[in-house]
Amino acid sequence: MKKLLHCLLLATTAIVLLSLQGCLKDDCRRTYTLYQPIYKTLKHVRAEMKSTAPASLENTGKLNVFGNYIFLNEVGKGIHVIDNAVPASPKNIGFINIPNNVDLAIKGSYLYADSYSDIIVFDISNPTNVKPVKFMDNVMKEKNVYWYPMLSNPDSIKVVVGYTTKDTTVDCNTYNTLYTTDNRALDAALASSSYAAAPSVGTGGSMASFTIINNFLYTVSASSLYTIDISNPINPFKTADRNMGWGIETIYPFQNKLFIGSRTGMFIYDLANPANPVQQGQFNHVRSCDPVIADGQYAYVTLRGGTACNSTINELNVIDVSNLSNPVLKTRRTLTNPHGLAKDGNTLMICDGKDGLKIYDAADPLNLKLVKTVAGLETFDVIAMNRKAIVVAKDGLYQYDYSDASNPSLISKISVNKK
Amino acid sequence: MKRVLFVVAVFAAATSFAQNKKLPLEGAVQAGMLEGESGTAFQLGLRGGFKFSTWSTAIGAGLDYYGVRSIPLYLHVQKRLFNRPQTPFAYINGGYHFPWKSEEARWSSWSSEIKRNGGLYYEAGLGYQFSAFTNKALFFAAGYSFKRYAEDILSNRFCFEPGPCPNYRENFTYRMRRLSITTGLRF
Repeated sequence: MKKLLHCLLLATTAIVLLSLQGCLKDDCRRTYTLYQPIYKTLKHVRAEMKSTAPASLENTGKLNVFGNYIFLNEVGKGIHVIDNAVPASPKNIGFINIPNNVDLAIKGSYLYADSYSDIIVFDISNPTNVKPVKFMDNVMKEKNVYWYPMLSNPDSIKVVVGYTTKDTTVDCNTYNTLYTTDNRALDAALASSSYAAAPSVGTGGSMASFTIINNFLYTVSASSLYTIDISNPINPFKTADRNMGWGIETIYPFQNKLFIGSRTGMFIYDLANPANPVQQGQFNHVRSCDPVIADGQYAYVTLRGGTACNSTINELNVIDVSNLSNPVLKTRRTLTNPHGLAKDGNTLMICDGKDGLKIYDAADPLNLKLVKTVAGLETFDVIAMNRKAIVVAKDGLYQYDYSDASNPSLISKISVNKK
Repeated sequence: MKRVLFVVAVFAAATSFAQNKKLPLEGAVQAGMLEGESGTAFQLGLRGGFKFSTWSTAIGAGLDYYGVRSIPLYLHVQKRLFNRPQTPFAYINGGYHFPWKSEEARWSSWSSEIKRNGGLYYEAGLGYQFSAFTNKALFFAAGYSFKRYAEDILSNRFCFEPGPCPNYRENFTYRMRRLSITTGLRF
């Protein structure tokens, strides 16, 4: 009887397990965000390019400091205007709508900003009531997405001004199909950014792709250097358009030179004829992302690795540029994930990604001494002047007093609105 | 986490009950295979608990290599058909599994941060045990096993120019259903 019972039990087990075969299937659900573009006519978009109510910081990019004001790019959307008269309590006083804006530069009462391939000149004499005074159409042709020979009427041109997002869940097997579709929209949504420097001119960071020297605005796109005469701010015009090869990223002015960072090296352009810069020197390095600054004898280049930069190198290169025609690498220092950098006197600051802000004593540039690491923030770019550092980080805009470089004190922070 | 606390609470209650009744301790080690749509994978287990009459309960932990390597932590309840060394039995495990690696940075077309989340784990099945060695039992069991696993992927997409790019987030949730075959030693 017991043997029969055992046999029955084993048989039942076998039948149950066999019947479960149909249940032995794995499943996978993918939840993602679908981006759908929102279009407006160019005429409508331009009518809205003006000061609006302050907006919360969400995805900040490049910045430019001009007098008591900080103009901070909101990547792809516009520019925050921050009254920094009292650095301990900066006030967000307005927002300028500029679709696809990534960079800016300031001189006098005028702000120059990009919007797709256009450059717009704004009158900022009243920072709470910023108005456009000039639209330069299709200056940076590589960024063109809506200027076509058959389309010149601003009423007929459609511009992507934003995206609606919708969370969607699908079976993972449909992933590849959807991936191709929705990434086009997403990639179009991914814009970029930049900055500049000089007296009566706003000060930008090392990640800038816009800069102003005297009466010229210089801007780089992925493969070109554009020169724009701004001697008459409300009627600027392009004087030169120079192809530089792919991978151009940043531009930094120093004395009568432009230091241009690219993914393969650093270019030095001479401005003897400011309307038509001419290459004077070049320093090649491994492929990576690399903002550059200079201080006379030396240029400081951070090389950043990562997928987008096609590299695993993360380091600082100190390059002797005393002979501008023949820059020579003098020393290098390993970093974690360097982005922007700034130098004020003998103090060198490097935004080292998630490692925070690193402050070096650069009295001897070939023997940098790490004085302090300000940890706890993921840094992107920094402007350092008059012992005050303005740092763009993932979670906000920080201001530090580094009168004592070994013990910088936080003056204020404007936080990013976390979604 | 709530599930883990539930498992611990139930076991604590069972332990308290067992201590009051002075119930004998029981433990087991087991190894086996998991078979499902994603292929065949190895599993290991260890559990300890109490026995009362033909029932036993235990806290178990192990290694589960199916789909993604993880550590299941579960409450085990077993009913033996007869109160003797040789007997068929039925069992059920329920709890939570923890991924072996909870976070990972990945570089492919763009950089991604992957956060792995464990989830519900359960198994139910039947088995048979034989007397083996001294006061020990060798058992074989087969059952239906389930584990839920999720990945949150945060990607920094490519930007043509320098600047922080918007992040792109997606989530993958897997529900894995397997046939579990184990053998082990109960002591």
